[in-house]
Amino acid sequence: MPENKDEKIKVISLLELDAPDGPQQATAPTSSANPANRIVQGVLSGQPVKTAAPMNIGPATNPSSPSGAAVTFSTGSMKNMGTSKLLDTLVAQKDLAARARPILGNAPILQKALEQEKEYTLKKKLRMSQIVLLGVFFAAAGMSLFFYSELTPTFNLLGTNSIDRLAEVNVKLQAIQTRINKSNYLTAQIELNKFSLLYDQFLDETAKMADPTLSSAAKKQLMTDAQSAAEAMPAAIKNIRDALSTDIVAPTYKISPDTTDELIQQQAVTDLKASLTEERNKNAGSSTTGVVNNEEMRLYDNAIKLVGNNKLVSTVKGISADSLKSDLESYLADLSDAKRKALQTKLSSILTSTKSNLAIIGKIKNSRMDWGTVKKNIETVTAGVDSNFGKGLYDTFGGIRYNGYQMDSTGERIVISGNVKTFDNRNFTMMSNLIKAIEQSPYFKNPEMRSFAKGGDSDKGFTSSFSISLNMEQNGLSEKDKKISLVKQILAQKTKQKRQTK
Amino acid sequence: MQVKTIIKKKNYPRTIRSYFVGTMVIIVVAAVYGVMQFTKLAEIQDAMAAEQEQMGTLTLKADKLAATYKTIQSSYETEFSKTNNAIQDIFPTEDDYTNLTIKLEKIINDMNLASNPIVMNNLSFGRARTDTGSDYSVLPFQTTISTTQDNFDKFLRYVNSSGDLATGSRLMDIRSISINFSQNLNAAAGGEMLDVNLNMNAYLQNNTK
Repeated sequence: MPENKDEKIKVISLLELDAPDGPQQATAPTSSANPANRIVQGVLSGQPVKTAAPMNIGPATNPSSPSGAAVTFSTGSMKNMGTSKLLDTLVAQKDLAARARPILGNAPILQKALEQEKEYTLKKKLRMSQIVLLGVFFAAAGMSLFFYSELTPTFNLLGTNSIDRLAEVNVKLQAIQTRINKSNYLTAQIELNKFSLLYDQFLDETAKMADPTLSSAAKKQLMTDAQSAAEAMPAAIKNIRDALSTDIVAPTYKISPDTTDELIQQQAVTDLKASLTEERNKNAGSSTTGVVNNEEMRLYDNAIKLVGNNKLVSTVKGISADSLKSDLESYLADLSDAKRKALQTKLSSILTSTKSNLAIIGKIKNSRMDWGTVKKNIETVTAGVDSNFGKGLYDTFGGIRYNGYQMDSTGERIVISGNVKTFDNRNFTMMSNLIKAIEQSPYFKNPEMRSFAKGGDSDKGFTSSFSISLNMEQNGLSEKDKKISLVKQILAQKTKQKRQTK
Repeated sequence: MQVKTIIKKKNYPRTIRSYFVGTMVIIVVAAVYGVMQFTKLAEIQDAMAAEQEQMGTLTLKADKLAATYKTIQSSYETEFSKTNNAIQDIFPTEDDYTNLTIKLEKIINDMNLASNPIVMNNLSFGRARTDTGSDYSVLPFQTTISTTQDNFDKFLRYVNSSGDLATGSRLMDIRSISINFSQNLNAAAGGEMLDVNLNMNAYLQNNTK
């Protein structure tokens, strides 16, 4: 229950405002007949009020009152409270209700029907709008769900979607590409082996042609074989290049933006290596005799090493078949050491990359010292210093005689040792002349011997031992014969002039 | 109740407009999203169609290349089977020093003539070794030969041409040569005899790879 009287009055006012049908005629002029009045009275007297009839509070019509509001209160009660305030409030509420009433009174029935029809139409439109909105919403949601289900790789509630199907196609495509790559790399390895063999034959045959004891018929046969190898080598290089130049990645649609070209390339390399290894192991395991074909295993091993060997690929790409052919023909024309060395340098990078036995054999052959040639060149140089050299006159007239040739520990320098015998006591001069002759020769460079010793007498002759270390000239061309720049020449001339003035 | 009715009547058009606007917003957003997704889906469908077509082409190419490789491999095996056998002779998997001894003695004896003698007096083999990171193994050995200058030159040429697939000679090289001039003159050869001590290497495959 409200605590004070003002609040009680407000409750009444609200009840009155909420009356459903607006102003009502009072059924009786007395206060007890009107339930509202009864409530007011009850409230004012502090007694509970019971109303059997529904609440129908409204202004009572009173002919004496211009507003039509008539409220009856007992005199005793009015004396007990601020009567004027309550009445003012009630009157004010009545005025509000009166103002809310249409000026022209209640709407005619026809107008009500029109309004209802208009309202009905609006309601219908509203309902339609709601239905359309819902329809559009569900259509949009359905569309989104469709696209989500089709384009999300992880969404597979509705079965395999488009993106998964594309991923499967990508995988299948790369698997086929791996098969292509496998064939290409195995073919390239076989072509490399062929090339190694042809190259080895070519070098062996051309080396043999330098043998002075060979008959002309044998030389002719060797030349024919060498020419045949020279014709086949550029074709092998072309086949290697064709096999290795093919892109190992199949062009596929990138499903994820995170999948970079590098990752795809890396995956292709991994797949190819795995495929080659699998086939290698399969072949090794399928040997019924228990004897594994080592050459075939080596072929697979080398093909696996070939995968990702960008150095070899770039080297092969850098060699023109036509250029190689002309180089080989040029070498065959004169068999010069310089051209042979140039060929070996040009092709060694390819052969080293193959890691085949033939390539290793070729590598050893290229690195070994041709002692026959070394000995011959030393003898040629020595003959310029000692006119009796090699004529068997050492003991009688003196001269130079060699008794040792060896490679030093690094394998880059050779050491020649021997004796010098003179009867005029000019051993040191002869040895110095020999060193100078070696330095000036086109075959050797950097000769070095810094200690001289001799013994003997003029009757038996003076004898000295020597040991000279030296390097071989590369490509048979001495640095002394190479062109030097103009600046160096000028500097050398200036230095010479300074020395002369000193 | 009357007041509420009035409010509702007044809000009908506005509510309808709100629904209309909401509907249009959904349509526009859905259209933009739909076009984007449809484009992506269409791209995927096109890519799939193109890849399936490409798959057929690549399958044919793969089959053709596999067949070509088989042909090349077969031809290579036939053509180079002799080579592979020769490789075993010139670059064996084991040190095989006994066969090397037989071959060296044979070549020396073939060169040896009364008018131009050469004799192998001594031959001793070390243990095969493999240097770190090397692709091959080495069998070091030492030999001493008494020879004429001419036969010595021939022997040097033989060693320098060793490892020839055509002759099947074992791959060798010389590390050092030491010559002693013998006092014995060979009258038939018309010159002095040389006692030559050679430190040499024979090569074999590195099986530790």
